Amino acid sequence: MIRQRSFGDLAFAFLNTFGLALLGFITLFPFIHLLAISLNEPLDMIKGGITWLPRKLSWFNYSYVFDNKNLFMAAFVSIARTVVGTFLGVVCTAMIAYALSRREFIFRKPFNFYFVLTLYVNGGLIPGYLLIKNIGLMNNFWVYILPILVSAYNVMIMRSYFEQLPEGVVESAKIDGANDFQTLFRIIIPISMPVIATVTLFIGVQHWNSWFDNYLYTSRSQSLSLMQYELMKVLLQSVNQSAVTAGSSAANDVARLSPQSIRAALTIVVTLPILIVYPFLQKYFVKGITMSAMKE
Amino acid sequence: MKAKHTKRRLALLSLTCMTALVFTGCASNNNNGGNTADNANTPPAATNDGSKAANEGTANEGNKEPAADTSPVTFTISTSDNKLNWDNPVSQKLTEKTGATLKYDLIVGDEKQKWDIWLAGGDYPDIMPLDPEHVKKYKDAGAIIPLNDLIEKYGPHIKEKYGDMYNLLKSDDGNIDSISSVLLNKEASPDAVPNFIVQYDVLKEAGYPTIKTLDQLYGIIADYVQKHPKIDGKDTIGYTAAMADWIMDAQFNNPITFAAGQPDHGNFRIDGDGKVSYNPLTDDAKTYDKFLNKMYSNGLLDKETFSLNMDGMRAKMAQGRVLAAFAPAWILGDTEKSLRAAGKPERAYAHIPIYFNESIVDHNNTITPIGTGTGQWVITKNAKNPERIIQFIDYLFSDEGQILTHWGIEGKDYTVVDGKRVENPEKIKNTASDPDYMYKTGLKGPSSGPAGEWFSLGNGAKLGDGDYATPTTKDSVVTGYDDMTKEVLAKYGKTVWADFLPPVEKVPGYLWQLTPPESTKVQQQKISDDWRKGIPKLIMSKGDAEFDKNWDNMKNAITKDGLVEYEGAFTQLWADFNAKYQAQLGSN
Repeated sequence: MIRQRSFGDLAFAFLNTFGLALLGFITLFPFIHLLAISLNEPLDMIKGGITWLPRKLSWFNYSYVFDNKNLFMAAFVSIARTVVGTFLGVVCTAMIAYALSRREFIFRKPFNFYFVLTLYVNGGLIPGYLLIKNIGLMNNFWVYILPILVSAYNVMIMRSYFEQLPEGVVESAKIDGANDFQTLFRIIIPISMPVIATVTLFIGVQHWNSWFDNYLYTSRSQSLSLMQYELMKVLLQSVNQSAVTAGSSAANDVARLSPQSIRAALTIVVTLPILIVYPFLQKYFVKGITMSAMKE
Repeated sequence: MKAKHTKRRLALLSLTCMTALVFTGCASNNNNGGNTADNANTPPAATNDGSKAANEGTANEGNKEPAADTSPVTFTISTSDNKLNWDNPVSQKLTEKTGATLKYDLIVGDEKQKWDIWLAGGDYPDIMPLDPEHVKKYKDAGAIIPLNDLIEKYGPHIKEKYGDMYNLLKSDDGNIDSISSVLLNKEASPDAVPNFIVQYDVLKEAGYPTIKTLDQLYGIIADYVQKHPKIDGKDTIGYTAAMADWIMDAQFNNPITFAAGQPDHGNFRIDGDGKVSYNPLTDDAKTYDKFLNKMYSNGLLDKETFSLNMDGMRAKMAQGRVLAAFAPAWILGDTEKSLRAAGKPERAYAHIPIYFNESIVDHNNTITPIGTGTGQWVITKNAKNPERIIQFIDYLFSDEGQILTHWGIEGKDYTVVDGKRVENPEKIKNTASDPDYMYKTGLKGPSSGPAGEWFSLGNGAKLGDGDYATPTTKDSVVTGYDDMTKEVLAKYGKTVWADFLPPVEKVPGYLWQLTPPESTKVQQQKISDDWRKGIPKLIMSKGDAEFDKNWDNMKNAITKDGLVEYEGAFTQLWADFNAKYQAQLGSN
């Protein structure tokens, strides 16, 4: 039976489309604006009034950013960190979440409590620094991975997903002779792709964006420099240089610099990789949800 | 039952494995960790060695100036400038002369936080250019060593340059905690600029008149706007100011101080007896607000003034349609560069001082003898040879060191012509075209106080040989000017903008540098809020009667916020500061 589309339905469809389009626009607009600023000639940009499109097209800002010779090594470290950190992070989070989701696990409650506690209480900056220093992780690649290997928040997300899976899935695996590792990696994880994708994205973005551990723990080791850290150097350097050249009247090539434009270019450079990865993960969000492993 | 137990055990096992994994991860890294821990542990012992060596030094050599030890030694020093390096001619020459090599320990991002973390972890480098707050923190934590004896033994040039200011280096307990540059210049730095700006084209149309007062400024602006209501198709703005956020202080308070020719004490005015009053309520403030009111009533003031922020103000100036404003170099930013790049040099600005009336004598061009604020070098207890560091700093203070670090290498960067140092044209050209050139030559160094790097004595200061200590001279500043600027300056019979500035006067300090008393915080907030509320009404007043009424309203509102106590607290603060300063200067 096909129901007649009522006015309410139409209104809903219209508001839905319109509302979401508006939301999409609000999200997109800052990026368009930054892209326009970053592609505009910096000294022309100072005059203001650039909203949608660059007025005087120029690659100056991007060539300035990529002029930093350490940037490519740093990009490699950043990618290595993101890949290794995300892989280990997801595996470890899944193992803990699985254990905590099993009702027969005797210390379930205290462990749960202990994990949740870390969401609210942490040691603070200086104790954290001293801990890292004393266990010898200073200027070591693993300082990027180990301290943030498992976050209680991600564990909770994954645990809740595992808990709502039918108990029969695990039982049937056990009957077929699977041990807990086999159950987790061969049964649970493949049917939990939505939550795995979500947590992968969370951890991945966190790794990609982070620079503070670089600032704190590995600032004396150039070879461990992250991309975000190198870009920060570029920005600070542009502020310095702009201040130096502001006084001189000769409008030569180096004096064209404007920190505001550089900042816009940096934002684009940093955001782009995440934007590219996102669509590849997105399909799992939709796909997994409807999947059922059990015939009741 | 049994199966359930096994499961539990397995679940436990998986957790144990996890934990084990984490721990093995740590264990395998402990080797590296060992090194770090060692590093952290060695310094105290090294410090003992250092002071022992220092003591031996005095025991062995009776004379006051021990022969300088130039064996190779390396010090670490923190910096936030990622371009600094030691691989350049000037730095190499420094190593040749002193044996010392500086290893830069770079901080990218929040310097102060990193200083705190280093202090907690004991990881600080040998030398650190700190701010006063952190000098105190490091001192309280026992992380820095007092320099009195070291300077006494190894710092003859430091003492010579400081002269009768030497005691100002000492803190309350008589210790010298840090060392920064001392300003010895008697004239304004040639690259300094006065703070009011007037567009070149406006001056040209008016036939380059002498503008000394706000009334004269009003006259020529009014004429120009009448003749040119639009510039490049947009409305001409006679005078602009920005009020949106923190910039209000710089735009609505500072011009009053400058137009009155007073030293800049932030939002305060200090009279001859040391009485502090709130600057935005002085008679001068009323005169300035009246000037803005007149501009507004005649449509000459930027209509967006009350909602404009600094970027907005810069954008309008860069469009070339702002005729005049109060805009120090830091507010102007890149705008003049932008105008010249757009082929509109006639829209760039003359930088001149403007006063309330012709009879004002300008006392605004002040300096403090000792730079406080940034770049106060401390020697931490991690330093193994503090006496070598002082010898190194002492060399920087010597005339030879000053010439090397500011002028560069003779023959390459400068030549001596008729007994005077002259920068080589090649160097001037390179400096202008390559922003990294100063780093490549090593003439750029870590911060060492407000006058600049390498313990600069200030642009315009002279060395023992009677010649300038830094190459920033009138000649070098003029080479950076475009033709239009030179032409305008010539009309006024000047060579650089700094020629418009009065002679330098020394003051002990500025009120805004002192930490305000805790008790004034609430009053401060209320007063500043009422000022922000009052100003737009005042400036938009119609007619003199309404202006006076609004002025009185604002004055009453601010007085009710506890103005008397507020001013009293700052009067006391200033008196205490001066008493301490004088006592310190005279002390031993």
